[in-house]
Amino acid sequence: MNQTRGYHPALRRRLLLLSGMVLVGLALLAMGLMISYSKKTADRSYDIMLNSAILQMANAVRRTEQGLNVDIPVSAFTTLALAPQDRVFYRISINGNFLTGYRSLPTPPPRPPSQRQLTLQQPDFFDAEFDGEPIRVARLIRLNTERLPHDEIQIELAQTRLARQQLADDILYPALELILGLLVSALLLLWLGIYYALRPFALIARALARRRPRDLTPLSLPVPKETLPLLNTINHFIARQQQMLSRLEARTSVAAHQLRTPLASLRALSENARDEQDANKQRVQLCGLIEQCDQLALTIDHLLNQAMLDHRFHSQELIPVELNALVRKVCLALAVPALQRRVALSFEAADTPLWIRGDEVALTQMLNNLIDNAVVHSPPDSQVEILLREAPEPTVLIRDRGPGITTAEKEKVFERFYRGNSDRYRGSGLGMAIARDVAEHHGARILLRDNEPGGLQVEIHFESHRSLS
Amino acid sequence: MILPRLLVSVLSLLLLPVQAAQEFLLPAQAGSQQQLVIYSATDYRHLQSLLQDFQQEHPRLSIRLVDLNTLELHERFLNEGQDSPADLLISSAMDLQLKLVNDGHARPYRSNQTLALPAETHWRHELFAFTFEPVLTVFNRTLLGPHPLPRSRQELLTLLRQDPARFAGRIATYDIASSGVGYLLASQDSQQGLMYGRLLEAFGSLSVHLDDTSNGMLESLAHGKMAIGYNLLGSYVSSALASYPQLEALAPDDYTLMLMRLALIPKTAPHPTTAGKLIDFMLSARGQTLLAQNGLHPVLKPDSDQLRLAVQAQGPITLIPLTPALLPLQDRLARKHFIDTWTRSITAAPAERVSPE
Repeated sequence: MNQTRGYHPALRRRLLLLSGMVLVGLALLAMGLMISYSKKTADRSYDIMLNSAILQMANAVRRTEQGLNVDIPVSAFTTLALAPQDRVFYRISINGNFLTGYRSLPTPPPRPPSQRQLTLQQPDFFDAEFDGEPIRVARLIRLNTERLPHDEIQIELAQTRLARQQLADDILYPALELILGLLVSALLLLWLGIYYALRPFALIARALARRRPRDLTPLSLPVPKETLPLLNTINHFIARQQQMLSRLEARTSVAAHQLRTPLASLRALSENARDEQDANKQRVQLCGLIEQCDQLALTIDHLLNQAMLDHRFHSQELIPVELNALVRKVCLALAVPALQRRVALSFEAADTPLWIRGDEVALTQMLNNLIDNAVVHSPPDSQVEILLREAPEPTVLIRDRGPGITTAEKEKVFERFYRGNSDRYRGSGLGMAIARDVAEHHGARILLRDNEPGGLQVEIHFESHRSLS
Repeated sequence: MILPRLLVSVLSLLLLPVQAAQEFLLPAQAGSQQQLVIYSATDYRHLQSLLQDFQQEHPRLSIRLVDLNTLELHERFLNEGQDSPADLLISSAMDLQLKLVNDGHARPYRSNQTLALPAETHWRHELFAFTFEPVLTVFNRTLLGPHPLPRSRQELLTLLRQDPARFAGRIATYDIASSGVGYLLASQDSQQGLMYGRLLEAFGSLSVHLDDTSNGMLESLAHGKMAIGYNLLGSYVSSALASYPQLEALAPDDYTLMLMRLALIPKTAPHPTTAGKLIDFMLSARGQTLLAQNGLHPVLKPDSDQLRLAVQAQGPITLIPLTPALLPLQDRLARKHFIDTWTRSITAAPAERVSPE
């Protein structure tokens, strides 16, 4: 009960964790993309402004008779003031020599030489750091054609990134909010989905727990289509239980009936023996009484065995069993009681190991019953042969030299409490039935054949193990 | 006559960057614990009661105020470098102050007070405007003779052309080479159009007198040495008008320049927290009222954080913006170029001084 109770949350947690991780991973990916996209967009927007400003500065340097003349247009900086909180730096150099501005501005990466010299190139942009703040730098190279050789004027105009960051954040934050919102609702939906998916199981469990022990009617619950197979399986299982229970009841009543007859006969025999005056006759009657008691004991033994086997069939897993060894063990155990009847057992193993999946106890019971039967029906000083074959399937053969069974009787002997001709039979009427139950449980078939020249040959064919041999 | 004067002033600037400055000490009311050092290009009398009131709240604080002109203040601070004792720089040379911030010399300060400021009155939370300063033209009514007050620059130019003899040697304006504010105003005037250039030529032909301070010019005007003072700071003008009835001031109808006094806390300030509190106090309702009572024009409307632009000007107001657009003014070569051009136009035509139509 504790185990089942602990199982549901664990499954739910595992499902949530796994899909949650995937969702969070996707959300992180989307965020990463958004961050880079917002930065790029902000850069593009403000680069246009920086571009416009630096172009306005293109003519800042002029040569006059007095020398170089620098006049930085205020309009360029008014343009830059569109990013009102950002610091502005610039550097103007002529032919590689610093002219004015901020001398320590970072050196730009070298520019690939252009195909053809232009008097005014397009500005290019790069990121750098200056005075502890990240900056965006635009660089413009201009040739001043007022004299030969031309003066190469390099203008660098830089701005801190506050406004860009602000714009990037303005783009980013709504997107992040959206992503987070989606993530949260997806997780919520996921949680709900898992809750609803697992709820039928809890329903079924509760319905089963609430049942009275004798209630074996099918469960009728409003479960979704997906869990219907489970409900059907459970109902099938309940039906089997019901079947088993009714079989058990039938058997119990048959068994009770079967026990009543010998008891009545015991009583009659006892009364006869009590009233008999002749001591010799009384002695014969008491012997009959003891024989009747033995038979009753055997019947009870078989009934108990059968109950035990029924239980095993439902509870025991089939495990690999080696037939040669098992049959040999059974023969060894039965050899001495057989010799008391002056019957010898001969055993012949197969050439190869015969592995089958089976229940050793049940198989032993089956072999016991069949070999015992053979011994009981063998005439004194005869032999019961037990042989194993590996092909076409693992097979056990039990041959005796007894009277054999007529063809008409061969099917009937497997019926419960069938005792056949009273002169031939002395058993409980259950031994063969049990043997067949065990054989069926192992996917095996029991065949009865006439032995040559006389007697019975019992064959147990483990047909379902053909491939294993 | 003019050229040597100019040369002398430029030389004095180069040779003696740190001139003897006037210092004022406000001792602490109770045993002094720290001394706040203010470099100020605003007259002490405008700030005195504000500072004293501030000391009421901080009785263990003494204040040393160093009174400098805008350019001196800038140079002195830069020369002192890491060792500067200054906790607060107050100046109306907006371009110089802005350049200090742009070059990373200022320390940001954020408080509830400063965060509520309108965007136009601070830059990067490092530079704070606390008063406006309208830029006025002042006349000595007596010396103007029969002429009516010229209401615009155009009228002023016409007047100068009509009666050059009356105004020769009697016009005063800032020497832009030695005054930071003068340079700022001249550059702003020149951005407004061509009128300023013509005016300068007229000034030049009439032997304009160049001065470093508004107060100096106002004194000359009051004492009848000068008839016209061009581009004088409103706060100084207001107090002069109160004392000298012969003076008249006007905000030109074509446009009136308006600058802002700016405060910043240097990165090297020994007492940045106290300096920040002083900024808060200057921007508080009480501080702004005290500034107004002492002849300055507060940036904020009383009891609100809104901009107060209500200055008695007829024409449009040109508010010098507190943005990086001020930076090119402080470019080494561009500044030299501008001053050269300016000096040339003001000295170009002394020969044709007498050119009545």
